[in-house]
Amino acid sequence: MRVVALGCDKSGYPALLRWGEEGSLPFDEVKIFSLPCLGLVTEEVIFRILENSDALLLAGCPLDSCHNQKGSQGVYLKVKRVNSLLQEADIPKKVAIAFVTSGKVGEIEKVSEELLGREK
Amino acid sequence: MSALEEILRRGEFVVTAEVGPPKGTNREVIEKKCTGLQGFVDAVNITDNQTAIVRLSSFASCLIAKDKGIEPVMQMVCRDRNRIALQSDFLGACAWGVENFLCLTGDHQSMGNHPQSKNVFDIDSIQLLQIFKNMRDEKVFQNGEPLKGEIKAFLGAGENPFADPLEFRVIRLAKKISAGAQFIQTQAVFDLEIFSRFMEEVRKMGLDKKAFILAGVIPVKSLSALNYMKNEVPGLVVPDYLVERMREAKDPKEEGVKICLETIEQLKKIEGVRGVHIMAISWESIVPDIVRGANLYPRSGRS
Amino acid sequence: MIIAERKPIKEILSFLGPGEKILVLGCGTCVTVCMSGGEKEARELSSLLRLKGWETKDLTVERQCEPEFNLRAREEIAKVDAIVSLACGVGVQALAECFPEKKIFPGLNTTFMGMPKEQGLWEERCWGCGNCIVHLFGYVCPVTRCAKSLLNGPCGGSKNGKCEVKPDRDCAWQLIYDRLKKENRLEVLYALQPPRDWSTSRYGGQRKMIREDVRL
Repeated sequence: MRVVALGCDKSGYPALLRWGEEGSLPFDEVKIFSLPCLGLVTEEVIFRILENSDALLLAGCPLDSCHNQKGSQGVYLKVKRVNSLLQEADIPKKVAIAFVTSGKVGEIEKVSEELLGREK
Repeated sequence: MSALEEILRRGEFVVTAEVGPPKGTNREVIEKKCTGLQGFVDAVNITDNQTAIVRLSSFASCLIAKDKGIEPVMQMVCRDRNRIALQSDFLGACAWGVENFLCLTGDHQSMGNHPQSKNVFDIDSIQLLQIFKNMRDEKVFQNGEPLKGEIKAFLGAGENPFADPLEFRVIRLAKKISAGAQFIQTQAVFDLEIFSRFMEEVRKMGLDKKAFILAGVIPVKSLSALNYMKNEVPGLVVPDYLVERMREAKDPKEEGVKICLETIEQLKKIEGVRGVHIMAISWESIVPDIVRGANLYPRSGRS
Repeated sequence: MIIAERKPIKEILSFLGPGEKILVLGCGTCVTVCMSGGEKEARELSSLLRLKGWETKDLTVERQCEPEFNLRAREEIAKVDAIVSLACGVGVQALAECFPEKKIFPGLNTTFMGMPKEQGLWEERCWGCGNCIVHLFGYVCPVTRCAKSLLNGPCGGSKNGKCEVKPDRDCAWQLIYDRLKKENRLEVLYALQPPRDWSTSRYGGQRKMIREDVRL
């Protein structure tokens, strides 16, 4: 499974880096990128990414403590919508969000399992 | 004049009931229900695809009822037919000697068994009353053209004193009466307080002198039936203490009849109430017991 | 504005033949505002179709209900086998009139003329009956907003200000009553509204409007 991982500068990206450093990632290929806030992720962006990968993993601030207030909440609703569109169209690809605080990779590992489970 | 009109003008407390036609062509169903009511009621309402469920037409059912010697009240709703069809059916019913008509709006088709159908609502019940009145009195169709032949019709409407906005209900009733309603049958009364207040406003506006008001009652046979009416039927108000009574009742059917009889007793005492309309849904057989229990039997009938 | 909703994806997919080159054509006016068929949605659907294996491009024009805008897309349209139009029913037909040889499929179900009540919620307000009388009814259109289009007051199913047909829907007559009461104009409701002339409404087939002075 080829995965693209996007993390926000504040929490997601640092957590993704730590996760990347900890070795054996469960995917064939992972590309990690940063952006200022998950709130910048639109459905269009998600779809574009999925055209060239199998899954998208987003990592950002927890819902109630987003550094930019509504960033996490906004992307949460957008991801929900994209996943339902993908399901409706029988496209075996998925997007998942890990709500993390800077150091914690546990949430990312959990979400990775979710993405893999979908492929199975 | 129709028997119903005659008895009302005589000043007697009138009893009417309701019969729902079958979902098919078995006229015996109507015949049997009508025969069971004979002698206990002054007229019988025949419903018109009530709750938007397809049944043997009101028009045909009225003829079957007449055949059995029962005086029918033909209910006509505005949901399924436009002004062309309604005027035409009115002429047809009058030609066959049907003399009582109840003009109603009609339940929305989404509540019935053909929710995918279009509705009509070309006109509303108030406009319908006016159209029929003008056909009868001015001998003209809705478009002003003259019509030929005699029309004998006693026109009625429904009113729901318990629907919102409550303050507007009496105004709406006044509109119906000035449009042509000569008798009114109300939605079932469970809450006598609200109904009494409604009748007070009715009397203030002098409406009780302009039209004959018949209060509706429904004998309930079970707690679940009462709860259904309380919660699922828009426009029915059931006070909690009645629900409690049904819950505690050892014999719910008996309790249901008791509540109905008590309600009728109270209704008789309210000035302006000229009769009672018993809507014994799926329990038409109980009507004779109610009429007897309410000391309204025997009926004197036409003179 | 005109409100339309995206058709179920499966239905859209069922229109398309294997190997066809597709153009998803968005519309920049009403359906952009109600978030069903604008540039964003066109891009989304276009991606989705590519994920399903169709060679797809997307383009959005100002509005598809005006031929001059559709014609600007003629080059892109010439290159494809089928178009999924994300316009309302008007746009789809206008597009088809501009390109009569092209296969065009509606990507949306057009529903009503309405307004955004809150973010993400649009409600119907106008039916196009051809004879506007809202000023008589406290600016709440009884033709559109009453489920039975009643003109003489509420039916017996109005309860707690809600309509018997959909319990979360306001009873139009309660709204009319409240508004007129506030303005001390309840006498308006005492008048008997006669049977309506529906001939200006939608029952006579296609309607049109003409302005002689601008027809060159």
